[in-house]
Parts: sequence; C-alpha cells; structure tokens
Amino acid sequence: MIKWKFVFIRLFLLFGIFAAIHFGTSPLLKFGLVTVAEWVTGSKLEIGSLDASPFQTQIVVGKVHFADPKDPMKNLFDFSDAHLNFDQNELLHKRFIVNDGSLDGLQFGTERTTSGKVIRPESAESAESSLINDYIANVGENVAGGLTDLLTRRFDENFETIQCSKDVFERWPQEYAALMQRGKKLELRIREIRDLSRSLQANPLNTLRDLPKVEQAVRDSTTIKSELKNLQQSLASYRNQILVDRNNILAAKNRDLARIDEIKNSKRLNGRSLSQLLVGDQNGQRVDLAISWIKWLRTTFPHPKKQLEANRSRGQTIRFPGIKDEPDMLVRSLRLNGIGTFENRPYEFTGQIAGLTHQPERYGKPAYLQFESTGDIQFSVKGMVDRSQSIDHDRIVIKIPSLKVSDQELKIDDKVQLSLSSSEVEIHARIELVGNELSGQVKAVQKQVGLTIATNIQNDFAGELKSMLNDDLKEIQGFQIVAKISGTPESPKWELNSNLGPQIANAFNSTISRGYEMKKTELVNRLNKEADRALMQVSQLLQSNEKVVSLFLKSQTSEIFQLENRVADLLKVRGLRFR
Amino acid sequence: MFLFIYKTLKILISAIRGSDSPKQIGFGIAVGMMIGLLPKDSAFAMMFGLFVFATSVNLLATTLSAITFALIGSLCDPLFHQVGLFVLTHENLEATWVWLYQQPFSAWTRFNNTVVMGSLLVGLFLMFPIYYYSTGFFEANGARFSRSLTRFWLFRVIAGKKKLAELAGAES
Repeated sequence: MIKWKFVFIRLFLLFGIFAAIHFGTSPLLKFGLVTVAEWVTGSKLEIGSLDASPFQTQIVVGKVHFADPKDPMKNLFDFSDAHLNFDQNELLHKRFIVNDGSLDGLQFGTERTTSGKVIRPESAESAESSLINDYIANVGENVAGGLTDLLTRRFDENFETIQCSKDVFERWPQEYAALMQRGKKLELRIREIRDLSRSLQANPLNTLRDLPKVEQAVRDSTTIKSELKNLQQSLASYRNQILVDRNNILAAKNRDLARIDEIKNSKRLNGRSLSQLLVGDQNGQRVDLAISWIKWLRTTFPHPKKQLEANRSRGQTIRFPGIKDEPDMLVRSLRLNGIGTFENRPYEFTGQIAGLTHQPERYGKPAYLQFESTGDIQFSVKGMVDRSQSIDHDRIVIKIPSLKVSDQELKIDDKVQLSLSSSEVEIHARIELVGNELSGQVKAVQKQVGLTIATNIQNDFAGELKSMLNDDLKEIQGFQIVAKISGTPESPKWELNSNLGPQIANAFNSTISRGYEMKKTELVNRLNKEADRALMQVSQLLQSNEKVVSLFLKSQTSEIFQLENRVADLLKVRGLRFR
Repeated sequence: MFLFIYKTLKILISAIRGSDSPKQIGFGIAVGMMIGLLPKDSAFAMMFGLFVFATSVNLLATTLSAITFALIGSLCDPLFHQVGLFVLTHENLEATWVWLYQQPFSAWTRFNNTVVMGSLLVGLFLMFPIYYYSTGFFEANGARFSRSLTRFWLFRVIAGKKKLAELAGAES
C-alpha cells in the first residue's frame, strides 16, 4: 500500500530543492559573473537581467555594460540583449555548447555617466607614434629644404662676355684716340715745315736767313717720318690686339656657355621621403588603428592558462584513448549586431563569432570573428584567434571598399603645400600576430584625386614652375599607399611604400629639369645675342678707327715726303746742301 | 498563518524524522556513507541523495552519516585514488569505460576521476557491512540510544511528543 503522506512530503521537499535551484541560479550566476569580471579586470560589469536555469537550455541576458579598464568613463562594450541557446545533447555530456546565439545592440566605447573603475589597474603606455612622428619631421626638413631651394633659386646672369666686351669698348677708343693724338702732334710740326717751305718759295732771299730753320726742318722731317712709321706699326699692332680681344670675347662667351651648361638641378626630390612626409602621418593613424585591433584581439582573447582549466584537487581525471576531448564550453555561432563609430560617423554592423571557447587546445581549431557594416560606411572586419597551439596566432583582415575623404592639405613646409581634392579611398589591411611577431600590411588606394601645388614664394621662376608643375600634377589620377608592418605589438615598425611620393617627385623633378633647361636656353640665347653684338661692335670699331687713323697717317706721310723733296729742291736751286 | 507555518514545519520534521526502524536507520547510515565519501561535484552523490528522498530511509541518520563520512572520506583520498586509478586504467575494462564515457549523462558523474571511482567502489564494498552492523547495533541498543538522545533539545523537537511518550513507556 502506498503511503501517500510519505510520497507527498518527499515530493514537496524535492520540489522545494528544484525550485531553489531554478530560481537561485540566475542571481547566483549574475553575482558570480559580476564578481569574477570585476576581480579580473578591475572594471564594473553591470547586468540588467539574467535568466538562467539548469532546467532550461537557454540563457537570456539583458542590458549589459562593461566598463573600459583603460578609460573608466567609457564602456568597453555594452549590449541590450543576448540569447544563448545550448545544445541539449551536449549538456547531457556536461558540455555547454552554444549552437546558436545572438547579441543585439552591441556598442563599443560608449560614454558612461559614472566611473566604471573598481580598482586602479596599471595602464600600458602607448608604444606608437612618437618615433614615427620624429622620423617624419626629419624627412620633412630634408624634403622641404630641398624643394624650397629649388623654387627660390636665383640665377647668376652677369655674363663674363658682357664684362669683357665692355672693357674692349672702353679701352680701344682711348687707344685709338691716343694714337690719333700722337699723329696730330706730328701734323702740327708738318704744318710748320710746310709753312717754312712756302715762305722760302715765296722769297728765296730768306733762305740764307732761315737756313738754321731749314736745317731743323730737314732733321724734323726725318724724325717725323720715323714717328709716322712707328704710328703705323702701332696701328698694325692694334689691329692684331683687337683681334686678340675679339678672341677673348669669344673665349669669355665659351666660358659663359660652360657655366650655363653647368647649371644643374643637383637636388632631386626623393619620392620615398616625400611619401613619408605627405601621407606618413595619415597612414600611421591607419596602421595604429589596425595594430590596435590586433592588440584588442590578443588582449580580449588571452591564451587560457592551464590552471584556469578544471584542476581538481581530489584525484586525477583519466583520459581514455581514442576519445577526442571536446571543450566544456564552446560558442559555435553567435550573431552580433550593434552600432559603432568611425571617424565620428555612426554606422550599424552585423557580425558573427564562431568557435569561441575557453579550451581552444581541446577544440583544436581557431575562433573566427566577422563584422560587416551596413549603411553609409561600408567595411568588413574578419578576425581569427587561434589559441589551439602553444604559440598564439591572431589575424585580422579589414576591408573598406570606399571611404570618402574630404579635401586635404598635404603640407611640405610653410612655403609649399599640396592640395588634394576630395576623393574616395579603398583600404585593405591584413595583419597577423604570431607569438609576439607582427606582420602584414595596410594598403590604401585613392582614386580620382586632384593634386595642385600652392606656394607663396614670390619670384618669376617659382611662378613659372608652379604653373608647369600643376600641369604635370594633373596627370596623377590616383595613388596607393602600402605600409608593411613588422616588430612587436609593444614596439611596432612599419615601412611605408607609396607611389604618390615618386609620382609627385617625378613631376617635380621633370618640371624642375624642364624649367632649368628653359632657363638655360634663355640664358644661352641672351649670351649669344650679347656676344654677337659685342663682336660686331668690335669689328666696326676696328674698321672705323683704323681707317681714320690709317688715312690720316698716310696723308701725313705723303705730305712729309713731299715737303722733304720741296725743301731739297729749294736748297738745290740755291746751291746749298746739308752735310 | 501561524497555524500553516506550524503544520508545514511539522510535516518537514516528520519527513526528516522518517521511519525509525533499525533497518531504515541502518540503511540511512549506509547511504549517508556513500554520499559522504563521494565528491559532491559528481552526479553519483546527487543520485544517492535523490534515492534517499525517494525511499523511507531515516533522513537524520543519513545526514549525520553523510557529514561524518565526508570528513573521513577526505582523509582517505589517497586510498580512493589508488583504487580508482587501478580500475580506470585496467586494460580489460578500457572498452567499457570508453563506451560509458560516450553515454549521455555519464560526464556528470565524473566516473573517470580516480577519487570518484575509488570512493564509489569502496563505498559500495562497505555498504552492506555498514548496513548490517548498524542495523544490528540499533536493534540491540536502539531504545537506550534514543532515550539518551532525549537530553538534547533538537532531538526532542524532531522526535515529537508521541515518540517521546513511546520512549518513556518503554523505559517504565
């Protein structure tokens, strides 16, 4: 016979125990999660509601805010609802496997009204940009210095040819004048002799009286002839000397041409340095962002330490051969959706986490994360977290197919800057962290760009160059920037490669070369013109002065001979002769 | 309201008191020993606990036995470990353990833990002797033992007036 009173009492007790377990699990689990999270991170974990029980296969969590350990006034993440559906069959095997879950209203970095700090943890120092910035600053000084030098260069336009010609034109008229002066003195003496001969011819009786004068005239005529001969010799030597000076002018011209030819653009812009200067800082921010993501993966999913695994103090758990151990807890699939911000612009995203477990070595496979944005800002993030081996391996791939970039000023220095019109950039980053070794690259392709140079340097040459350069810069339709990353998360290194710098450097160097060639051609033309004019003037000088002096000397020579003969004839008529 | 609480407590006390025949007390002590020796994170301990609730064993005896043997059991862990290790690593039993490991709910029992297996086997081995000797003890000394317990306030509350009257009548 059944004792109903006994059965009722036992059932009542059992019901009470099960009820206590059912209703006590949620607050206990909530308390445990909050306590453990706050103890481990030192940041507040606030859970609005939590519904869990050993007698149901679903956990529902609502309104969770977890403060950022590095910034207590911000949340590391928060979400409005989470539904985790456990595999019933796996639960019978004491494994908590989430086959399908969802996390709605996920947000990162939202503001808090109260501080989320529980204890004061030591915060790691930022290990980035100071070195990079110093490097860029140094590069900037070199490039900007060179470019400004090129644009502000002044050319020496004082040709030696002109100076040499000027000397010739100043000297030779004086020389000829001096020669003429000497001739004029002789002419005066010749006139005296002519007057004497005429007086003797008019009055022969005076011959004896003027005999000393006649005697002097005869001696002077000899001297004058000698002087005239000297003058003609001087004239001839002047002719030779002028020819020498003409050759000197030609030699000066050649030297000037050589000097013009030596004008070279020795300072060529280095494309790589220019890339560093122009886009290094901006790309450095992208690299910082990508590295911060991979660091986030590494810190958010640390390698589970062995002591965290169930380490029973009592006895030893025997692993039977041929049985593959599955992890005790595993999230096979967890769908995410939420709101984030990028460059202060909000976007919505959906995502999925797969293969997340606290026992990755047992699971033997990595965990995967995937986020995709919806709306204006398009991007996708794929992450891999592999803790299944002794060496941790993380990978993150970020793709932004089209990101609008507003007008930019790429400053080279205070005097020269480049204007980059608004365009679209495609970014593809892939970074791996194996152990503590970083590798990967961040690639950005910017298309349909419009580049112009702006400068406040005021000189004609810079003006001409600016105009030519802008024409050349129009040819640059796009560029890409690739930052190769290495080093460690604490001390990352990156090497920037971009075709922007080389393209701009090519345009600059080409324009500067053409500008220099144009300037050289202009200088050569001017020199030729100046030299030709000088040579022609030398020829004219030679012709005109030599002719005048030569004719003068000839006439004087002729006259002195005539006078000498006339005087001789007069003396002969008088029966006089000089010994 | 007070009447309801009083009646509920009375029901609970009567449930705890349970049947008090020497066999039920002896069985309660034997099952309590099993519960006490087994690590409590094993489903075996819970199964024995449910068994206690499902049968008319003396809960008080079971509880006291479980507490006592839990203290003793922690001292005997090295022995349980050796026994469990021998059994779990025995070649002839390997296939059995593998099959058992793959069955639903078996993981909750943690039977593959050396102390769990060792304490289970030792407990099962000791169960009948404990039952046998404790039943014999209470058959011979039950009434005298119960009377000596009436000095304790808690026992008086749990035993109730009827039981106390029975004990008083037996003494006279």
